[in-house]
Amino acid sequence: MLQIIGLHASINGKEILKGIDLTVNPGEIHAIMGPNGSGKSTLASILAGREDYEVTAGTVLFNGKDVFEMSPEERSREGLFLAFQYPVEIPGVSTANFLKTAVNEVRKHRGMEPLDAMDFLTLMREKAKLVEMDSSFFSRSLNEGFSGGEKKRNEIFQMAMLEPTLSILDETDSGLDIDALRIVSEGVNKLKSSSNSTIVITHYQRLLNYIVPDVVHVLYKGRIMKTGGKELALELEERGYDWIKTESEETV
Amino acid sequence: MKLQDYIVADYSTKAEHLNGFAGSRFHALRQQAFEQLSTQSFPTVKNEEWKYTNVQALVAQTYTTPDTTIASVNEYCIPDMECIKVVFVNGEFSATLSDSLADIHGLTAGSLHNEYASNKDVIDEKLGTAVNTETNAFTTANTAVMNDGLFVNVAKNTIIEKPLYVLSIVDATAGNTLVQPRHLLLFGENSQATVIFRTVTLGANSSVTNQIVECFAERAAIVNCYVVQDDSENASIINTHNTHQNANSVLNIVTVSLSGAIIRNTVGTKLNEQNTEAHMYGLYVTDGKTHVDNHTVMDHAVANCHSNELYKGILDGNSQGVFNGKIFVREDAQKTLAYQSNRNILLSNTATVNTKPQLEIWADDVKCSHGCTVGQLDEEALFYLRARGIGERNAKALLLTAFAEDITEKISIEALRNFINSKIEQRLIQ
Ligand SMILES: Nc1ncnc2c1ncn2[C@@H]1O[C@H](COP(=O)(O)OP(=O)(O)OP(=O)(O)O)[C@@H](O)[C@H]1O
Ligand SMILES: [Mg+2]
Repeated sequence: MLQIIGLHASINGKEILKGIDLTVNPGEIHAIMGPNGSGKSTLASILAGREDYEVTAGTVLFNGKDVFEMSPEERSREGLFLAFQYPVEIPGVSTANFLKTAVNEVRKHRGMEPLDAMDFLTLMREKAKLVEMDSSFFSRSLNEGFSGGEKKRNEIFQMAMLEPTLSILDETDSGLDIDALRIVSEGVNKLKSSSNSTIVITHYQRLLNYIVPDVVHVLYKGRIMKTGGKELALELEERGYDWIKTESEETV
Repeated sequence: MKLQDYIVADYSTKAEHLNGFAGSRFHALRQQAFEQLSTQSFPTVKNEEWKYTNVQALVAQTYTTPDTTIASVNEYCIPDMECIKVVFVNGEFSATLSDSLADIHGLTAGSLHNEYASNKDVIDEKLGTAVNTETNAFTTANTAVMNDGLFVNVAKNTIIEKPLYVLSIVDATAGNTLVQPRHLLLFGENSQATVIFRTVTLGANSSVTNQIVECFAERAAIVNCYVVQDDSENASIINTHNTHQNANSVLNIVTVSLSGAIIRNTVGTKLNEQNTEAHMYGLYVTDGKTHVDNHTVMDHAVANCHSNELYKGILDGNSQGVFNGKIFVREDAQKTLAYQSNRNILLSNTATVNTKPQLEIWADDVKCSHGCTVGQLDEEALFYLRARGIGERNAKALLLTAFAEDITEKISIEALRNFINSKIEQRLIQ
């Protein structure tokens, strides 16, 4: 599904990612953890196609295709989805209008007929239920004035609408209250299948109680310092990152 | 003939045909303006008010008088818009192309020249009092050799349901053409009406429309004026649109500029009595070499009035935008609320905007704010949309349409709003 090989990237001459190797197979859930500023969002953004970063070395293949040959919209249509850590507020563009455009572009790419207004509304209602989002949000400007938690729910709602094969959730849990955390995680789990994969970026083991990862990676200073099973997340919760930092200094 | 010579010649022709006007105040007004014009010259960029708008090409080019026959104006109408058409061809009223203005309850309307005979007193009282010929030769020229225009007098307590659609057709097929429409709109106490202005140029030569609109809103009148500027690339407009507002009246004016050569709008209102509201909106979506200059004047003469002004621009190609927004809050105008904002998005490196708010406040207990921004499209927002599969062009169009809709949503007539929105969408998706 996803293969990252020796990825180096920098911004304004400052190297942020210093050689990332990561393979995600269909059906797998990977968690990426790591201290603030370690490069988690940078990695997610590069995968989604943000152009601010300079990729200085490495390859990323998504379903065997070189993602650096694809625009952000092509990646999305091919089934890659990023739930933003900080969803952007877009005044004047209604959630419904935005999603209708997005869904129909994705459908077109998949050789499907565009949805008419009625079918689209039905689909929105159905998917909104998944994250218990009220239909009053449909007519509101995208993310504008949404609370932190509402924005995160809206990301998962969009994910449900677009039916990606690889979803990257960048701190979707932060800012969610306990109930919302459960609702959002259950939503993600319902969307899960043996053919799609998820990368969960998080600081908290709590989320991983709901979305149980197959593999946990620790990203530190632009490198994956440690990879393990779900028990690694528990260990991090108990011990913090210091021991990994120490280990990393020892290896350097 | 060049502009000034053409105007002089035009004056002498018109002076010979002043049947019914000789000796009137109307005639005196024109004569006086004509004399004044000989002492004035058309503005150059040395004039602070015209610093960024160079009209020398319009002043220096030669003009001819067209001879035009038009069979139908259907193609120049707004699709599905119910309205009362008032058509002018090269500045002269066309009764055959216009809808009947008679028998509309509470409405006295017709061509200014035709209506003069029966509305002499009121026209003499108002005409020329909302504009100033001292500072601007275009105003003087229009006053001296005005063509015809719309005269409207809405009776007290009357609502005119259908909008008046003032369509000015200018024929520039045989040569450069100058027209000088002159409209006088009187809105009686507690009346409501909507007037739409649009100019359509035929032919590829240069057309110059030097237009003046004078509006008077009596107590509690609600006035909507929508100005649609979507003319051909060699069409220029010098548009002066001034309003005087009495107590409790509301003015909504929306000026939308989409194409043309040089467009200069000077839109002003005087809030002369208390509890008056003025909402002034403008949108310019330009490309190519189109130059749009919006000068606005919000003149708070008395206390407790509220004005709100929002102008937005999307500029591509080599197009240029100018915004100059004056707000005067006179000494007596305590408790004034006055807001002004000008926001621009530049889509190319060669498009430019000069924006300047100009507030002069002599009262102390007022709330005024102003702001202007010139920026690019929001890259974060663009990335967000693209990351959801929306193609770059569509994503840009979505963002820009939303930006423009802040203004177009102020147009209360759905058919007109749709017409403008779809023109903007076509432009942005192209
Ligand atoms: N535009 C930029 N200019 C300079 N440095 C940047 C820029 N964008 C990101 N960085 C730096 O890159 C590093 C990695 O940032 P990133 O957002 O990927 O971290 P993160 O692991 O997601 O952190 P967090 O857990 O706080 O979300 C940080 O040190 C950050 O300051
Ligand atoms: Mg981050």
